[in-house]
Amino acid sequence: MAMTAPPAQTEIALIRRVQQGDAVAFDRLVELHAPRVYNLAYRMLGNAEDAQDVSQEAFLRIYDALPRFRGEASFTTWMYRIVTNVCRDELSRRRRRPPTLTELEVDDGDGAALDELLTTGESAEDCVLRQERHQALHQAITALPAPFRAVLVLYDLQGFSYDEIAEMLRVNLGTVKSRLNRARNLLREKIRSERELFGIADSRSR
Amino acid sequence: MKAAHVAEYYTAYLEGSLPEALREEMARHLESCPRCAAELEETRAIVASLREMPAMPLPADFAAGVQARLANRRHPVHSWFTRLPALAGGTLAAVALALAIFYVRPYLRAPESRPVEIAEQPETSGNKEMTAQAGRSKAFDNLQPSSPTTESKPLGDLSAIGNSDTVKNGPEATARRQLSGNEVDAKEKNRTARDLAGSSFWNRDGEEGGNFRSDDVYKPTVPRKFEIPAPGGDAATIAQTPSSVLDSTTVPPHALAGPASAPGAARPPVNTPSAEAEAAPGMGGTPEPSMKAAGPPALADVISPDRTRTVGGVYAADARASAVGALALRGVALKGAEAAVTIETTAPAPTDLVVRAIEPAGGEGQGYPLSPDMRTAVFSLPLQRGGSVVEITLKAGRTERAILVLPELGGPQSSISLNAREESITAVLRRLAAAGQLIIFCPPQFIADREASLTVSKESPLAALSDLATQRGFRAIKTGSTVTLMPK
Repeated sequence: MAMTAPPAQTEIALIRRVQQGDAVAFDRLVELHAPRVYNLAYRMLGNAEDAQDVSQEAFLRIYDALPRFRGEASFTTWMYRIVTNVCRDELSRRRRRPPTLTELEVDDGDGAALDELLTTGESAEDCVLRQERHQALHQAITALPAPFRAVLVLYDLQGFSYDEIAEMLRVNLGTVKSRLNRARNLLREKIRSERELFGIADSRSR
Repeated sequence: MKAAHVAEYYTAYLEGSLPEALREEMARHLESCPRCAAELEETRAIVASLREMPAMPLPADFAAGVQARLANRRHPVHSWFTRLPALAGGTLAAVALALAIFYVRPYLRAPESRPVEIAEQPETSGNKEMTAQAGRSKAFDNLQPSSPTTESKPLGDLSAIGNSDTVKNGPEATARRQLSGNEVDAKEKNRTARDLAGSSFWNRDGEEGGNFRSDDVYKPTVPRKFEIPAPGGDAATIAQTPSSVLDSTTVPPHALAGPASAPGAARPPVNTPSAEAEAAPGMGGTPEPSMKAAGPPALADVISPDRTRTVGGVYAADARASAVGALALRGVALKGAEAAVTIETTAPAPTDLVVRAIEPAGGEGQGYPLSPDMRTAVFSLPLQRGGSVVEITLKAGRTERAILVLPELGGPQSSISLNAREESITAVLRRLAAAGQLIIFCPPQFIADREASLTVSKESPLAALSDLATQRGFRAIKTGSTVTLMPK
């Protein structure tokens, strides 16, 4: 998932304008960050609807908190701290729901699969395989314990550095690294049954 | 080095950040241990796959949604300002009254009237409710049940939540309530809606008649009686009270509100059970021909009357329907041998909303418009053995279809309980699928061919749909109780 952060200069200027009450500047900030924030929420929460709800809510909180942003941390780190907190709140709220309810993806992949098939020119079989691989990964990610999931998504999918993640989640650097490794190990266990999707032969004697 | 310890270092090893000594030790271990070597390779492959995962496209209306939410929050302030002239007028009147009283004071025995406070006094909860209702539109009022208990027993346990959540008493609050239910803080509403679980949703959307944006969730639920015209002509009567709304055995009150509970002239006529073959008149004459079918089996054949079994109740609402499409499932409530499917649409004139069982062909669901603008309607459908596949079609500006698979009557899943939350149709469907209730949201091309016959026998509808998908050239990927259809 390759997403680039907006140029820092633009961002700082926008933040100042928002702090001075410029609503249009905030719209622009949303525009700049929404794809990444939405994708973080999507991977954290597992489905598009919750992702939209939660990431929009996160932007409201960012809006509220912006007057207090003094620039000690990078804006992105500061903002993602809010986003991850909102995700965490949603996840803990979910835990209070009846236990039968697990989040499952139903159809989010369909349209994407079709679109990709039409645009990439890769063979239908490859396309389906790749889709299945992503679907398997997505479900496995969604099933990870939230602290591990957060680190994995931020690092492997969103491309943040260990330092940035440590600051976002307010944990030690060592914790970030060990969580990432643990998350990957858990993920590997979870997709064991679909190993062939990843082109991995079952060569092990267990 | 033991295998159990090696797993700790996969990431660091792959990144090359292990201290030299450790790295060498690990390399030696990997040479001698195929299991760890394989795990490392798997990890490498997974990380590579993770990196290639595509970003989900941002919903087109995302930014607009943020703006709308912000605007909603600002609105109360705005509304206060817009009410200023009125408030000023009220104050002037109060001052005039005060002056008048001042002048006639010598003639009064008890001069402690406090006119200003009379004008602006915070109301009691009961008054508040009346005030809030007084400001609503005529059409809206028409939807209010004529139950005499409306004011006499207005506040159950909802009142405390409503009051605490509804901000300040006082003139502004009153003015706001009088002005419109729409202008209450959207965030507060969402939270309240969630806290209140099912009751306020059903109450709200029944009373407000299908306006996604009208969200006064503070209204109390009034106990009412509803008639469910059963396919066999039976009518089941359910008493609905606020506290029981969450109970999975109940059907959402508004969803089954028949004409008896809606005295308003604005409400379109409602189908009678005998009008089974016709489209709902309120839905404006459905262009879709009625599904010819063997007809639903007699209720008694399906289930013995003394064994009316609750399959479950599902509640959901969609405040973000525009983000999802023109069609939103507000809820599926299962009661005995029937399902009440409540559908809401954002389309301006949903004159052709059709809900029908396509397998086994059980005819069209009987629609009961719930709002004057016909934006909300409930369709009652019989539950079948083996489950049934229901198609929901809306052609208003854009075509939107959904397939809803109703659970098997007497199937293994005996109940679902979902908290009412603000969710989209897809989220609801997903939940139902997750709960084993076999609901699928299909790509339109899958159900475009109406001629296809689905065989749903002892197998679950999901399996049948999955088979059909395969026949149609789709690849059906089954995950738990969900089937994802993909082009082959």
